[in-house]
Amino acid sequence: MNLKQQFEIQAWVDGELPWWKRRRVARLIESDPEARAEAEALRKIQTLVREEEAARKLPVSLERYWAELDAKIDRLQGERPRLDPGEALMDWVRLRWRRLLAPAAAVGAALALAWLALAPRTQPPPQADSYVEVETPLDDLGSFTFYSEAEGMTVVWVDAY
Amino acid sequence: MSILNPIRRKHSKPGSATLWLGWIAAILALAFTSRGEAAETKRTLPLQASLIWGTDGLKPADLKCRDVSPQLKARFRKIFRWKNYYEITRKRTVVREGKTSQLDMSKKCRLKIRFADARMLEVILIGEGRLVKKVRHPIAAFLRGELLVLAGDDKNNFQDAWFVVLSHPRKPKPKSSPARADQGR
Repeated sequence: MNLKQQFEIQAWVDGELPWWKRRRVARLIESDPEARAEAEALRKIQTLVREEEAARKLPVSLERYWAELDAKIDRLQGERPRLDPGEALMDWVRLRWRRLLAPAAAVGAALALAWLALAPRTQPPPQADSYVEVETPLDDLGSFTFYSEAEGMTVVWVDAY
Repeated sequence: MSILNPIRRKHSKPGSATLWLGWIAAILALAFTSRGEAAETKRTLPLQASLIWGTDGLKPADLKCRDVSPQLKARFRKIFRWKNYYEITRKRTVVREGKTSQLDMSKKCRLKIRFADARMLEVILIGEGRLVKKVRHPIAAFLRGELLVLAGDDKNNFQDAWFVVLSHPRKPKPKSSPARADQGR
């Protein structure tokens, strides 16, 4: 029996072996006396740990224990060496950039969805729009252009065609 | 209550689920902001082109044409001096991004239309095989219902004129059903 098989037997006894390996390990334990002895020894240790271990009692109540631990953590954080403002800011960003990313991305997504829902879906927005460019390749032709806002019409008149 | 709950609540890091949601939201925001650019690359513009003959005389019997609409006639009369306007040809096309639409209005008159840039439409008038005029007109003007008119004197009869009218066809408004006479009784 090799080291890998020993680990697999240990995981099988603890119920942590992946399901696709359980049948193979169970067959190994049934067929191999060494594997069977290993599994039995591990089961005994497991039973001993669960049943015979004495319950530990805290010197203080559970709530007081966590409050004291909380205060200790705050005290340790307050004792950190002071940084100058620039370093303090960079340090703050470095520690919290991931926390800032999630809400910032959520705000960005919300704005994008709002734009998607409200923005017009068809054509580019109207801009300076009475401007017409006219090019006359033929030298013997002239033209003039005028725009009638009242009639909503741009006329390009070609001369002498 | 979990014995680990008090400490974990105060000093915990953002959960991995929150970070994943944040990254996904950021990617979605980037994808949606590029929506505008994607929409531009696939734009189209329906257009209608009419070849119109303006004259003070009556419609010849042998000429296949029809009267222009009363609305267009009224608009033309406010600008041009002729009394009568007859539509000889009417054609429709859809101008597509990256492509040139070609309309043969008559044996002598051809139009080529394409998107010049994000704002402007380019219309090329070709007469008797020669490039006569190149015009760039704002797309927004078409969408507002304005007309682009290329016009000139009739070579054969300087008393008359020809007009090529470009417009953006609009969908007709649905006719509302007539109110029933017995409603409210």
